[in-house]
Amino acid sequence: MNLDPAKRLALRALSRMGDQPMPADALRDSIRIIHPQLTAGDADRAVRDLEADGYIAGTHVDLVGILWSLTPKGASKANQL
Amino acid sequence: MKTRPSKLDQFTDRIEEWFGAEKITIAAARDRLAGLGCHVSSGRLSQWWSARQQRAMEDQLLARVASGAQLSREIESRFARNAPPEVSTIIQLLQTIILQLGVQGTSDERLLLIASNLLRPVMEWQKLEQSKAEFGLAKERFQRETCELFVQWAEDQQAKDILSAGNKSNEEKIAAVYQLMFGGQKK
Repeated sequence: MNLDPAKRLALRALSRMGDQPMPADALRDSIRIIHPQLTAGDADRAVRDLEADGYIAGTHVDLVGILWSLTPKGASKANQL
Repeated sequence: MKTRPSKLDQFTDRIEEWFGAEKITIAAARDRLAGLGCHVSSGRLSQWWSARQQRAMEDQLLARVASGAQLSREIESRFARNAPPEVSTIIQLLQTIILQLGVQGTSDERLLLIASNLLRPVMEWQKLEQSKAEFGLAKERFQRETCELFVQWAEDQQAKDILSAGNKSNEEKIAAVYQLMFGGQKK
């Protein structure tokens, strides 16, 4: 399955995080810095699609918000990018 | 990002200098390339350059992400161990801010100062925990030494004799114990 550039970037960014989860805001900003034509909504949609496809998983932490990490499927996909 | 090789790749350094330091036009760069035996359309050259800039930006961003993650990991290993929930939240907030600043590539010293100031309560808490631990150890040592002294004293036959002497009043016993412990007469 081919991923669009925003989703590819999100997976690569999460892969660079290693064992650390990435805050949702930082992930959204990463996408928008490289793809400034995308709105925050577009970036959020790309992230949600990745979650729905089982590539990433989020945990909610009070005061911090959602922290995203790669699932094993996402880590495997990120390695191919 | 994986990209297909291009005949322009071998001129990367020169093209970077032309568009970077010299700031020449696409047309001028195309002419210079033609002079070097590389014939390419302006459209292709522009597309190649855009893709290259995009890759460079992406690499920079990913490097910042990796360095933010490393810092976050260090903060976690230094402060998060055995931290109570309220301190854990501060640590997580700090990690979030550091990652956010890292992604944005900010060099705003004010923001970085705010982020580092967030560490202060964590460090204060650590100092407090250390003081508590040291106090606990000192208290334990004091109690143990007191017990040892008491045992030593209680085992002293003379003390036992004084305490068990049924024919002496309390005053006499105290005077005798005083004599035993400190020497001389009780005043």
